Amino acid sequence: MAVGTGNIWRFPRIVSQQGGGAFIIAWIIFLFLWSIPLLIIEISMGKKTRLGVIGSFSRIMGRKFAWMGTFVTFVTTAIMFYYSVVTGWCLKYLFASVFQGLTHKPSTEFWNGFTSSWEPILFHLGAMAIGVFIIYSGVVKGIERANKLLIPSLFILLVIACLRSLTLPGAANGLNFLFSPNLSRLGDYKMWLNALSQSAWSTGAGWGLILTYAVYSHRKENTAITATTLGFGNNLASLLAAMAVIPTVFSYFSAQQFSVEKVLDVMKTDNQGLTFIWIPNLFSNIPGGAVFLPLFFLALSFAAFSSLISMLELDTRILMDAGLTRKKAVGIIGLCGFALGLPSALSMGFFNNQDWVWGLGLMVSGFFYTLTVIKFGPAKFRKEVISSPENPIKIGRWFDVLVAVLLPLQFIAMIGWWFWQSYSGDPQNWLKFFSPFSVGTVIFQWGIALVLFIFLNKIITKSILVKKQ
Amino acid sequence: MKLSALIFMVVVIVICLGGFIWSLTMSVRKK
Repeated sequence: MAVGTGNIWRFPRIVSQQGGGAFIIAWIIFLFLWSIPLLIIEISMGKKTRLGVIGSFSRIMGRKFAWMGTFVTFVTTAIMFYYSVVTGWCLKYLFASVFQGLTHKPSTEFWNGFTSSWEPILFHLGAMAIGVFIIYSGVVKGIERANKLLIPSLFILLVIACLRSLTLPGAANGLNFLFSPNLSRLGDYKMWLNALSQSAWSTGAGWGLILTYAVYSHRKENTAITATTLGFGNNLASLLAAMAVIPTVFSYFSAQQFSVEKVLDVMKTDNQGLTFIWIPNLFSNIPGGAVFLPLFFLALSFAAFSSLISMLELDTRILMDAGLTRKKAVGIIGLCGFALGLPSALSMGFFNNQDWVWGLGLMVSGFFYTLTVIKFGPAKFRKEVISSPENPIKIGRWFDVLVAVLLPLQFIAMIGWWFWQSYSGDPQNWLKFFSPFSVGTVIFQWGIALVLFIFLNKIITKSILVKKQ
Repeated sequence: MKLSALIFMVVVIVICLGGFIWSLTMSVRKK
């Protein structure tokens, strides 16, 4: 999970949208204070309980709190609905780079033509169908084996792309933008919110997928080292992707005498397609680019499938725990995934809303993990859950302070700051349910899910946990 | 490229690459 669409597609667009250098400061702070501690908690819970997300929450928090695990699962599922659309984009670009000579096409027009056509629906269907087929036919291991070769290839291709991008004329302007922190931006709550959700989104902190993976991991595996490797590896890949994409954009427009402000405006329009537009453009400047580009999108597609399959498996497992056969469970998840991903495939506005709402939902998921550890007792969690007789891991008391004070404080401060700024900035519209980036749309969607899961808690506990026992 | 941006870039890369190499080294040592 270290390299994937979170780094290559999402990071360059968020960093360009949120002002470059200042965002990087916030994003690194959250790696240390949010993502790595949560990854340690997730891996430890999975290894200790040997249960899925809902089971782990019930075991540690108590059955009354199974709804928390259900919410965490739902946030990941809601991301899966539009993630399948992104996986479809990767497939389309793989197809186009092999059969349609992508390196010779005007990249912005190609992206706009693709996203305004019916094709995203077709490729979303294709991505979901392939995902369901892989889960149903049990070739997941084959995909994982292929990934062992393809993910390092993706990393190497990123390095090549990055080196080429940095040697383009005018690339220095891109690096200046990316690495010059505009300190006035540090007072922007939206930048901090985006930094937190980006860190969680791409490291996998709070998704529940790492917890599920840890269920099958060896007891001797060192939790803290796995979490730091994941966190740092992920940030490194994100930086490489940004250093490949952003200097390319600046180089292209510097040749046309665009000012820095104008280049920033260009990056904000068609922002969702930033990587898809500019990576083909970059590879067209690399000798052998016509060969490297399909390889890049092949590796990116495999990385995307690897995450999509984990999300599908997470839901399939829960339905199977509730008594459904694998065939039925996969079928239901596949159909729901396709149907509920359709609005994101059809409308970029809806896609952006979902990415905002459920990207931030990971913040609530992270808070639920924190509450679980606080209820269990941070010191007890450190000594009994993170550390085990087979694998004694020394983590200092700093962990207790981090979990009991800093993690909840970050959540409360971010939510409080965001609500207050939104209210004082636009008291008339801040609670509008159907405005794409309002507080109202987030509360509305989180609220429906939370109320439903709290209400259904007993049924969930009975159908999943009792049957499992 | 501006000197301040270059210094910041080096610091960020050292943190991420250094952290990654450190954790990989630790995992190899533990094995």
